[in-house]
Amino acid sequence: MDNFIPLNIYGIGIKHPQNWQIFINPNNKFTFHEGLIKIDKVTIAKKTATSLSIRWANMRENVNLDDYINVLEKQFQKKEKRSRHKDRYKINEKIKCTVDGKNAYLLKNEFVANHSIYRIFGKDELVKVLQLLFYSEQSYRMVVASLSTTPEELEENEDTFIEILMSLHEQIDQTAKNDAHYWPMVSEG
Amino acid sequence: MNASILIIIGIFIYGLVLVYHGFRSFKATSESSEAFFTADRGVNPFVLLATTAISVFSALAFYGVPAAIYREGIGYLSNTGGMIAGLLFVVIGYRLWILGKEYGFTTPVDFLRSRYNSDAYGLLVACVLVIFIVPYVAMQLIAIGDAAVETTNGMLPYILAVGFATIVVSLHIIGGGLKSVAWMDAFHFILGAGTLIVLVVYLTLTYFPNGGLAQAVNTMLDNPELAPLLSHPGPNGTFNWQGTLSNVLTGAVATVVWPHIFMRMYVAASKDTFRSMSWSLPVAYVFVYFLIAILGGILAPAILGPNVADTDSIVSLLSTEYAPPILSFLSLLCLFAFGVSTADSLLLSASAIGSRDIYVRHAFELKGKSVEPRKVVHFGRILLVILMVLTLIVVALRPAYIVDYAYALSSPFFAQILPATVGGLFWKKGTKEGAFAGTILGLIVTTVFTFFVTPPLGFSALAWALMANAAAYIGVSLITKAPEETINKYIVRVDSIINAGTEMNSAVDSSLSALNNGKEIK
Repeated sequence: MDNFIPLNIYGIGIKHPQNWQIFINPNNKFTFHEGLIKIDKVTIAKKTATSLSIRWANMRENVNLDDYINVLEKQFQKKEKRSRHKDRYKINEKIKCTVDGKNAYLLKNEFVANHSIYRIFGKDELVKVLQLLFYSEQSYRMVVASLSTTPEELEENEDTFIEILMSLHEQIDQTAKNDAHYWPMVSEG
Repeated sequence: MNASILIIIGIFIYGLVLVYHGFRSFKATSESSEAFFTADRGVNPFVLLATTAISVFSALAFYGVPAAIYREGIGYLSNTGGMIAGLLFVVIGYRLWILGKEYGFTTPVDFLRSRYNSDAYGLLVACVLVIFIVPYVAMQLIAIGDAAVETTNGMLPYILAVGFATIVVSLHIIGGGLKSVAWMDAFHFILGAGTLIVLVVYLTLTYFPNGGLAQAVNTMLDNPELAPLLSHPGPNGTFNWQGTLSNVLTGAVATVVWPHIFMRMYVAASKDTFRSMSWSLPVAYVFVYFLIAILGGILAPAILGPNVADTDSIVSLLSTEYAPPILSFLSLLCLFAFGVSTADSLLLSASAIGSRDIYVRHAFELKGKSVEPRKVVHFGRILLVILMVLTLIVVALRPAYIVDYAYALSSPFFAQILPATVGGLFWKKGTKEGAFAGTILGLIVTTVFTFFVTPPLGFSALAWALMANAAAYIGVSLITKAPEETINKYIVRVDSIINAGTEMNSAVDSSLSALNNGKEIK
């Protein structure tokens, strides 16, 4: 991880390659309680394109990670149904792990989708997604990091990508924690 | 009761409904500029179709297109090249939609400013768009005011009609932003298309009971003064190939980058919306246009004969003198539908550009200050009040330099962002210098060929301006260099956003929100 640099946003940290670019949508909610940040490897070669998204959201109740995975699977089914089963989404592997002292899951997902407006003008593309997720009982936040890439790039760099995801952590000081307790627990989203 | 009084009562009820509808969403749209200016980027396919299709047609289309066909013949129908706008809407719109979601773009200006990494270019485009929106809006309201006076036989004075229309339209937008505008446009689309059908069917069945439109066409063919209207190049020779091509280009190329149509491309709810738009927008466009063309190209000449002096009034003449009062009122509502939908959409665009791209950008962002989303909405509403007052002054005084000269430049000026927009989306070599050169040259050529020199070879000022603009944009871009980072961000990365982020992030978002609401996903 020599060329990796740490990033910390509202107490959520990760180490990512220093040449990846950070993107934030100024119109989206971006607070301690809710936000999305993208860190992309921007490259002209489509085969090596990689995108890391970190999403966090304040949860109304403590979250069981298995419940999240069940809901995600239903979302996948819903997306498949909406595409008349032309797109396919799959969780290939669920690995229980511990990250930053918290229970976490590493999911290995993939989806096949056609991104053209008319399927006839585009081709089906396979996208591999590694996803690391945990729930913080300290801040009541669910944190999900999703790294999407091509099968070729994943085959070459899977260990590095997992290393990036495993560096995901939460680090909040007492003030932030106190603030978090006083904020409404209902996400505004 | 007198028919004119009933029509006036109808107009006031319509106005009150419009204002009430706007203010119903006041609170919901006050919290964020996303809600106010883009309806949270969640406009469904039917509403997006309706608001886009009806916004393309202005009040002047309802009166002006039949008048133009009556004067110049059916060659004017080549303006239905605007159906290509449906294709452009999809080709340009899908990419703009993705970039808008990713980087928060709301207006043409914030995309162009970011893509060309130039606040000066952003300011140039913002000023041109905002300044020339006012005369365009004013002309819609003047058309409404004139028609209201005519339909009520002068009982509703012009100044009252036009003042009422201006205030109602402004309050409607101030109340609910795009949410109100889009939904009301959907109603206006149904109202406009429905009224046109009723008017065409009524006039056909009443005046040509023995053969309908075929009888009307035969009436025209029997009259040597009217027969040339049904052929190329028309009675005045306007629609030779150059005239036809210019007319096709005007409709096909320019409309998609009008600021209010441009902003529609950001607000679709999903990718599927663009698929529906690709076929439904051309169909809606052609459907409405054909009804208007039948009015001006067949029914008006066959009923009124060849010698109407004030051709611009043929529709109001048909609806007031040749149809019952209820149809006169419906026609007036149809004009309202066309005029209000264009005026409110354009005013909202001017408000978004003025508040976000000029005021917030230059008074806050460039000075390193942040601004709360609700304050942006507040600025937008204040600007709408200012625009309302400006428009009121213009429609009341009708100064020639605005209603004649500035208006003539509005639409061709809006079109001058087209080369920079298309190049900015698809061409990695497009540079800031090229965008500046092309846009400025396009503005100059438009002005010169509109007022000072007759455009050569029979092509329109717009056609020449777009050619000059595109040539300068490409030429200057080829000898300058675009920063790699900008190209990566706005062109290269689009594929990555499409392929990677969108699908998975939407699944994660939906899962989190389902867990938070305690709801199972069906």
